[in-house]
Amino acid sequence: MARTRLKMLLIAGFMPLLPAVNGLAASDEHAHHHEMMAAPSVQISKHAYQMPGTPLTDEKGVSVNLRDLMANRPVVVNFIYTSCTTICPVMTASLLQLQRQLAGSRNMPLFVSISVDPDFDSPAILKSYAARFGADWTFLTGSRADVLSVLGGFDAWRGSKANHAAVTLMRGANAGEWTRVEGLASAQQLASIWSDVAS
Amino acid sequence: MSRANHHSLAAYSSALLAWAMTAPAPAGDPGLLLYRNGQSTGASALTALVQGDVPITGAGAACTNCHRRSGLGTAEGSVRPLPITAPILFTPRTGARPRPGYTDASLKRAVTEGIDAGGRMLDPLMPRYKLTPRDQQAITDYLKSLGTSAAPGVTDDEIVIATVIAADAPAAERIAVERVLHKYFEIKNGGSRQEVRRAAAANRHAYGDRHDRSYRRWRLATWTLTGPPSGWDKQLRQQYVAEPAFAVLSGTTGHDWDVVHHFCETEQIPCVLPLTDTPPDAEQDFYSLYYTEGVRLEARIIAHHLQDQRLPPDTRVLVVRPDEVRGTAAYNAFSSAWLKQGGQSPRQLLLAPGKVLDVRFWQRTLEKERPDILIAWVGSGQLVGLAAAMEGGTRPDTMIYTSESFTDWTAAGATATQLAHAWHVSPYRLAQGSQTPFPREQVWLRSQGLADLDVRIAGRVLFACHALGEQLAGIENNFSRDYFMEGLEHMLDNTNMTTLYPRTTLGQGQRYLSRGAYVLSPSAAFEGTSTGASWVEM
Repeated sequence: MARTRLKMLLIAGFMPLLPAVNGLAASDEHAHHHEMMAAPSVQISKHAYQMPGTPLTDEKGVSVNLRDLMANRPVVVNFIYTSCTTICPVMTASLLQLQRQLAGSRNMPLFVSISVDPDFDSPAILKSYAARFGADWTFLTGSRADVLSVLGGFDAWRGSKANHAAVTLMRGANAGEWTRVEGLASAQQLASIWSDVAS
Repeated sequence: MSRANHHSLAAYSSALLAWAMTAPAPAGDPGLLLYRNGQSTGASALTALVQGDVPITGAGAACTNCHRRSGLGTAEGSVRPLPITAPILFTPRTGARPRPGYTDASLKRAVTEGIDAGGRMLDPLMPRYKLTPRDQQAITDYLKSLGTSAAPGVTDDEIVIATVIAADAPAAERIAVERVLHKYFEIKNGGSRQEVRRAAAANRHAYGDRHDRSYRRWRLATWTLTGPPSGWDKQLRQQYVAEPAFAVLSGTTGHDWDVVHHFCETEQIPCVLPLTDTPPDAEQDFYSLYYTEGVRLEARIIAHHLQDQRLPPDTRVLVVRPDEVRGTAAYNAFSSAWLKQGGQSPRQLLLAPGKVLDVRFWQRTLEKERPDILIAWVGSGQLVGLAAAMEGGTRPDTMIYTSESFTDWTAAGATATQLAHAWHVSPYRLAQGSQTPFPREQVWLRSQGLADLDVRIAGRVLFACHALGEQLAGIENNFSRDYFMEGLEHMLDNTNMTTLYPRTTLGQGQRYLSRGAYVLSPSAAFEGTSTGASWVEM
């Protein structure tokens, strides 16, 4: 896979500092530390992934060709599994918040979550997971071999599901290049990265 | 609390014990509902902000999502949530990032503002909750009780592990469970590394706490069941009271495992990998872990294999099966999958116990029922007559299915090779090249003088022991049953240990270790080879 790492930066240093949660007083002795911590650290890089034409299945049980699904439209992709603790509930909530923030904008991207646990995550299980979060986008699973080949293509497989990385991928409508966000981002960070990708 | 148990409890200050040593929260406790389900005490949903600005609500905001039931948490990716059991939260922390023990006020700051008792910001992944005063009180009370009750069956130097054996379970299973467990426990307790002496000296050694204190001798309690299943719950309860165990390991009943399953769930006892072909719907529950879904998995794989052949809707399916729980469970699972695929209701022939199926039975059955598909859930000896009836019979195109929970082809080579138009479903590993399918298990059994046991039974008992040992080592001194189960989910998904199954996987709430089976010809099943076999996952 041809992959170029153009830039890698700690976005925390570049983002406007987020307002303190729950109205923490500015005089708080830990306010400085607090603000440093408030914008999560994520790493951004650019990649030219070969879009696989692998057949997958969406949460409604409909067969989907990944390349066709994503052709000529802006997309935001993340990788989750329904039994995941800690990371995935937050990634799903972040994507939902991003979707809400982008509602009504031009270039509204297609949102796709790909399961890293095809053994367990059947379409029905993905559907109820999506409903639990109120997430109204495409969730994909498939045969283990197909899903692993897609995950491999996106460099998103770390040998086991519990070892999976918090990765969000973004791509403009006609861009060949993907923007990879590694780490758990705030919604504002995701929105800001998206506006770079979409412009 | 009888004898000292949790190391962390030992460090617990007595003043704290006075107000925090409460019984575990009952099921309807508002703090428990908030912790596990994200259910607020009020009318509106529980809400929080995570990662600075991402709103989460309800079940998505439940504490258990990260800290798990145990409060000790498991790692996910590179994230390791902090442990929040009462003995840890309310005790000062020394070493790196020291902090005083939490008070009600500092706990409130941590949960609502993300500031720990030492004044440091917690990771943005820790949600900043919006709590009503009642929510705050409920979660504070709950956290004061979390991890304070000692798990039964654990003393300073011993951990009791029970197994369950019903008197009328198949002899091969009863004998394998008893002999493998006794041998494994004997080796485990061999003390070849002076573990007992080092554990006893742990408090005099600078790092003894870390290395040696968690060592316990294993003691096996065999809970015996007699009579019909209706009396088993009482028998289990009596034996549990007489000899409390930390966990149930392997075991066999020869009937449904339901009674044991429900007993373990009610008493919150981990129940690890018993021998059963009919496990209950375990993924609604927490404490019971099974190898596969048994006959239900095999039945659904037959339906799946038929679906791939795109048969006409009027395809006639006949199921021949024993009139007992395994047969019923298999039929129901097949029937529901088959109907969902648009098939017609499958016919079934119920066999009374002891019924012998000769060539005449099969000839008559084939002529009368004229099945396109015959699912023969019977022993291999009962299929000798079927092979003869098929040869030169009037229904040569009938496709036959058998499955591993009912038919063992390894001892019936002649019949296996005669049945040409047939498929067998097996969840077990197959041989690669000239190797046997289960070399490691066979080496162990041979080396322990147990080579006469059926490797597919004994190998499952053996792996349950390996899993227990690995996980007890993994939980170190945290003898919490919830943490034990959470760790099993995690450990068994990444294990290097081989099982009888080609691939095992587990995750939070997942309770079947293997989710697929091979579909292969009976002759390949007889030889144990992968020739022409396809692996199907459900």
